Amino acid sequence: MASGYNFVSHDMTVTPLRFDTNRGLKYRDSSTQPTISTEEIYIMAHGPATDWGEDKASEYKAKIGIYFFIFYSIVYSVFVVINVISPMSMATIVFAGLNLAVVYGIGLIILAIIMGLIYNYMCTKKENELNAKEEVQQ
Amino acid sequence: MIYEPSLTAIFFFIFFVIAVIWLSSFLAKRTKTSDGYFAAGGRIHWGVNGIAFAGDYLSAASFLGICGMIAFFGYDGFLYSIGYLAGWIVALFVVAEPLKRFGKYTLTDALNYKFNSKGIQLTAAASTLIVSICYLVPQMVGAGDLVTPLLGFPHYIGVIFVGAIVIFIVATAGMTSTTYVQFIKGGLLITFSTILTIYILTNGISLKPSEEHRDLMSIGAIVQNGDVVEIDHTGYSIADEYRHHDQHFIKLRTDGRYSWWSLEQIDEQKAVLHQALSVTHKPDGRVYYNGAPREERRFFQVGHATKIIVDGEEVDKTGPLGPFKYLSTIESSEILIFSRVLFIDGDDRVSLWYQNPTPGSELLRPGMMLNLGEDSDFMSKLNFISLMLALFFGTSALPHILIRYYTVRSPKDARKSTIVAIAAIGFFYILTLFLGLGAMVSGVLDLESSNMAAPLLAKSIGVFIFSTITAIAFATVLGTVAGLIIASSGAVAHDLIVNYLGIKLSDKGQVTAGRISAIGVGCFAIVLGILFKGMNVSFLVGLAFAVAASANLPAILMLLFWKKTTAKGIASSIVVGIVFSLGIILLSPSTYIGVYGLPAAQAPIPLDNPGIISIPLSFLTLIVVSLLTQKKREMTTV
Repeated sequence: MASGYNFVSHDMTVTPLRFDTNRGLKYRDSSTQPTISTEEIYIMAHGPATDWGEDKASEYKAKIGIYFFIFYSIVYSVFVVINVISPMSMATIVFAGLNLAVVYGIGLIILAIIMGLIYNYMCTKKENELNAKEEVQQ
Repeated sequence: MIYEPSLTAIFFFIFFVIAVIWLSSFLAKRTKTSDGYFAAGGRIHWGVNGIAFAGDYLSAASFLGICGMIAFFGYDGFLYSIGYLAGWIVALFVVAEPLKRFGKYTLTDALNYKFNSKGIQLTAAASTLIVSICYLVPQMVGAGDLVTPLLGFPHYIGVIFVGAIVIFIVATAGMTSTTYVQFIKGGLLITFSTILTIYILTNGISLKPSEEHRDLMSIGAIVQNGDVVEIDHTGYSIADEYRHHDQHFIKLRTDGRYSWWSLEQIDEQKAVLHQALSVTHKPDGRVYYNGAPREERRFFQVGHATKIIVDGEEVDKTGPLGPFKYLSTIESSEILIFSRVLFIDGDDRVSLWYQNPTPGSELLRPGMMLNLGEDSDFMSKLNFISLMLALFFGTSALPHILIRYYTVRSPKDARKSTIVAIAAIGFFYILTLFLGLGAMVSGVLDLESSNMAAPLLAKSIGVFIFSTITAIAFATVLGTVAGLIIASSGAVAHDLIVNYLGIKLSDKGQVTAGRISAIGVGCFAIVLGILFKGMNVSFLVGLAFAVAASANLPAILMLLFWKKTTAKGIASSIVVGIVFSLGIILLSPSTYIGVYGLPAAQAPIPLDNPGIISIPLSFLTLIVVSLLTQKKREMTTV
């Protein structure tokens, strides 16, 4: 699961932090890795610019992110397909004197905003739920 | 047409430049570390970052280019708005949080987070530089184009001026000053675009959009066997003619001046000549506008409604309209747009724009610019799919956009800032439809430059709003160029010098290397901006999107979602993405016409947009190479 290292650069010699790709967590693993020098830090500094705590909701967020992405991709693909196969049907008046092209186009933009807000709500709720539990347990 | 420099515009411009220089100098004192220089210390608030995203993303291509395309071609321009915005969905749902979690300063960091591969360092840095430079050149060319007519400077002065200011912004405070310049620019752009849209809706649509509006002339004519033999105006005489497919153009002479007219045949004997606008390039370099030198101002602004239908009734003027009513009125009305023909008349090169009254229903559906109608073929449809694919996948693979995720504190903030960006950018893109259509019917279009539609619309309202929009348009270039230079600077200093070449630098040394790289890339951009003067800027932006979508996105997605991805797989897919996307574009019909000046038929590849080939090919390469290099990966994975 763990597949890479990040290094902090505050001290002259530091312990490498093992990175968990699923949990987004950095934790010390000094038993298996040697300490490294500051010179190495300069060369191998790939880790995040800022530090943050464990996020137990990352798996959930990645999963619903994919679902949301697939849903939007389908709606977007249908738009492209209609334009290609039947462009004249885009001229059909569908709402308030507006044609399908305008309604679908503006709809795609508004849908992106709405889905973004729903996604953020769901992610925040799950973060609060799972990460708060962790804090209570600690 | 001739643009007169406005003192108010110059004042706003200077004020903005001084404000930006002061801000950069102020923030420079706080930029001492590489974290601070490349990632603003990861301390930017997500709300500020979201608007800065908008400031970074809404380049001159969005503000000037899309508004202009909608003003000239209607709905087809709006398709770009839809595609550009849809790309943010990939960024939000798939890329934002993982990228923030795995990366540090650059895209290369994120792609290389679990491999520490030299191959990824080199290819990803090269991809960053290629995409950024493809994006930089049109911004610099656009800066020169913008500053020249509005402030009265020569093109190269405009490019040098913009380049020098951006180098100052980036070299002083790096990502921190870049962020705040983009934040200010994003906020101003959206605010004033909203004001312009409110003005358009309040003003409504009129057959005579302004007091200065000039009606184009029409003259009766007698036709025999398809040739014009007599015209119903004593001041004009027939000088020449030109036929283009089913179009027939007549050259008339009056007072020693020549002008072109399009012929509309009424019956076998009667016809009407409609005044056209033309620009004639003489072999000795002289240019005539409607048969006269530029200074005589005979090449005027155009674009208005020729028939307005509201609730089934024809009117001269609508009065204030709501947003839906405005669009439905355009839908049911008729708009005078202009179609362009290029031909050789003797030794002269003629660009001719003829009147083409078009039903609003045609303008508000796809097909005016992108060939999707009845006369479309397989390749035109494939081009459209490919374009929409590149727009969808290109956004979340643009290095200068992705590095903005490193400026916030956490993945959660990265997500929130993306949502702010989607809301701000989405709102702006909806406004582009009104701005473009507003310019289309307001009699403000300069047929020589579609990019000037939005500033000229502002000019028709008043000097203050025009000056502000000019300053914002300038800020638009500054904000995007600053983002591109900081991305390139990170690729050179952090990815290539420190990581790939392994040159050991202290933290302060990395900042110095970043600053020197920014100056180097900035100077290079200035040179390219001058050399590429007159180049089709949208071509280069399309190139950047296509290369980003082909080279970077397959690597990002597969790294996140396929456990068997290897370093060699990523590096190979980046190389294949770059080579095939660039190769197809360089051998495409558009490049043959626009860049080489050769007939499109000679182009070996009949496709303009490479995404549909290069993106799947890049994915395939990554999968095949990763599968072939599995053993090695297992051995090197700890």
